[in-house]
Amino acid sequence: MWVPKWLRDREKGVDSPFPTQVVSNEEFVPRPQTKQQAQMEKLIGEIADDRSKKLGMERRAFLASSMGLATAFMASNMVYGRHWNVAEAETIEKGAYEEKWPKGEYFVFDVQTHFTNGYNLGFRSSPFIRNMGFNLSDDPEAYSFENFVKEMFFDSETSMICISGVPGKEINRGADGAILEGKDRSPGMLGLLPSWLMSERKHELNTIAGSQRALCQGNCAPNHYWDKTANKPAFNELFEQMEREVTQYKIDSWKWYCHMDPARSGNGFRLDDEAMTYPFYEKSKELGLKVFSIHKGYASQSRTLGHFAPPADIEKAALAHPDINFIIYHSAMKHGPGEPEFDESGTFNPETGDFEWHRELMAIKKRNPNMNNVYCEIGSAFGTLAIVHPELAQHLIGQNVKHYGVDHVIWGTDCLWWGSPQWVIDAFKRLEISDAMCEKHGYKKLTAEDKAKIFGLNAAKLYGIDVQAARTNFPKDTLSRLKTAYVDQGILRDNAAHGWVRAEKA
Amino acid sequence: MALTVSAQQHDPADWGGDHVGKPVPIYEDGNACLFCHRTTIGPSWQTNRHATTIRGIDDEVRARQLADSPRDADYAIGREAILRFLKRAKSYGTVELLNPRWDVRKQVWHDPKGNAHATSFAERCAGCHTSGVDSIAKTFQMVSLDCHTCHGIAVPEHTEDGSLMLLAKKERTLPRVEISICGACHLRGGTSKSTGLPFPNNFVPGDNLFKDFAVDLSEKRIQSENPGEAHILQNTRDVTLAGKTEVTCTTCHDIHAQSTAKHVKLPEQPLCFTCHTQGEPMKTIRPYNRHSATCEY
Repeated sequence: MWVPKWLRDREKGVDSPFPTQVVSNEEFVPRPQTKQQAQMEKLIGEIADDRSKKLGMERRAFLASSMGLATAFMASNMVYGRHWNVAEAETIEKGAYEEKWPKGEYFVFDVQTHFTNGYNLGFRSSPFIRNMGFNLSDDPEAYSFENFVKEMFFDSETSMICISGVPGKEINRGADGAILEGKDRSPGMLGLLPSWLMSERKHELNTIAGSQRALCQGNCAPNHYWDKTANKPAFNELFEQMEREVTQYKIDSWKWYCHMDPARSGNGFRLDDEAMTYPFYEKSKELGLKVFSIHKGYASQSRTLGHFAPPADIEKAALAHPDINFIIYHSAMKHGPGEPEFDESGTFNPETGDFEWHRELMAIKKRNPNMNNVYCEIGSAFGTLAIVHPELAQHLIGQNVKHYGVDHVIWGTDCLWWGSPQWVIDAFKRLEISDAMCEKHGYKKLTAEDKAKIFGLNAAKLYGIDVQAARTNFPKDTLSRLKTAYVDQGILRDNAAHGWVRAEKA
Repeated sequence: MALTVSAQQHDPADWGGDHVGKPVPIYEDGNACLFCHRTTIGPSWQTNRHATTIRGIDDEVRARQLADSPRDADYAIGREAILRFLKRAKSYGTVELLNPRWDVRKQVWHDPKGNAHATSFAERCAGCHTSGVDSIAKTFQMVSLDCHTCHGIAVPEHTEDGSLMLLAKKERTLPRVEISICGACHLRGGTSKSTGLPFPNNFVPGDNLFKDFAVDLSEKRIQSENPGEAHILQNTRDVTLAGKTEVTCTTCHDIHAQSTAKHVKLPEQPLCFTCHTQGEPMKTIRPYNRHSATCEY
């Protein structure tokens, strides 16, 4: 028999900021709770009981606080081994967290952030998020630009963002040949987050803030305009749109999904396709834009074109275009946390720390040690692994740094899909690569300097941002003043998860 | 078989419209649909039969260990009876059907050195194995079946109101609409009135299939068919001719779960006895093989 997790948690008195059992979305048979998950759940409960009594707080309020989150990290360490830097004092002293992790210590520049044009995409109520114990609102308003600003800037210590594209294209001209503008460029499902909208919101945000807080990407890609007669890219249309996105929208990077086909060309595209993709590179260079952000990994989105999602096509393209910077999103991790193959044998090799398709991305650098124009972005990959598989999270960061160098790892979160990114920021601040893993795999211990680079300095360098000037200007800008007013309100998060679990394991 | 049909028959074509003669609508790419539906639909979609009407040759060869498969093949088509191979063509939206075929039942190759047929695929297979088919241009937009094949054209508002999509959990699709959607591929032996091809011309979910698609739903034909075809024809006859609404395809078939477990909950009725034998235990199913002249098996 299955029961809702919130009901089972209520009956057991469980209220955890971390997942303690994999929750089903009703499409799959829930997996039984593992011994480790049960142990962690018990520990969190016991520690929370103890601390909340001592502090005279309600248990729920304790678990929703920074002390509750510290408790979850501490319990994770006790069960899985020490992966997180957390002091016991942080679980009982309100000020210990702020003292140890002062806000503003890092310049956080998130290159993978999304909102939609008011459409609910269902991410925020996904099993993974419910596993986290989050109860995020999941309606059009939750995906709106207004909530985006709130969650990215007010609910987290993110300093700068890049609004990142989602699959879709713009239609240049109407049936009568007239140039279209605004909403007419992205009818129907193309309107989720079109390039024109990212650009508008970027400028709106920067204008309101009075400083440069946002960059934006453009969705245009080599297979977005297709000449069905010649069965090849319609380069005239393609270049027209590229010029529009660079010169009019003033985008800061392209965002490509090789395994998407919005023009119904019948195929995806490869980064190293000389006939199809190289002309795009050359045109982009001519336009002065040399940053390409590429979604790699997470291929369950595409069955028919999934073979375009692995990173194998990066190598030739990057070597042939040393003046272009390729930011590989998700570090090419193949499986998401909700996918059944995620932790199966063969997908992850605990002996080597390799996992699909990240392994291929690492191999490219090993073969080409002098190739310096490929960067590993960690959006969704780090955050999800930190929660469901802390050991794998260490491999992700450890290998990225080992092979590509600490100055080639880029901060991204994929939020607001996963709510406010503060939980991911907290996890990365606390991440420790264990001595055993450093010794066995040759990983580097991350210093505060390393983390500062990953959190934002690397991306700032790529995008030509003057961090010193930004750190001087941001505290004085309108966004900071609004945030101060907002933070004074004080809001509790809700830990209730709403998936389904096996009753017999309760 | 003990089948019944109401004396008062409806005209199956007497409702709705179709898209014959109109441009093929611009469909949302199913890969984009899975951007949002990746956790609910994504994992099972990888192996769903509707998603794998055509498979990449590597996957197929690996799964079946067919070392002798044609070297120039890009895709495989067919599953339980005959496995055939396809090669990408130079022109847009086309593939060539290669002659070598693997007889799955007998485990032998037929015509292993045969040549490719450029037109056969577009005139016979495309309608039910690809998406966004243009019967006139003889092209398709994507191999295998995309979400729109069953759920129709997506509107952005469906992200908030699931009932805006056909055959969605929250949408109670009219039986005659559902029969049209499923029947577009599963009613074998039919012919498009406008093209003469064995699949409907520019059918869009929500259309009335029978405006353009002529199918023999006679009792005589049903009696002569194997249970696999007969139960589809009989249910179509029940809904479109007799106006019955109690049982449709999704009453028994859960497409994304690839399950027919629901059908055991149905009260006993004549339709049951297309596959089961009256008077015998219901667990007994009459054995049968399916054949298709169009599909050459």
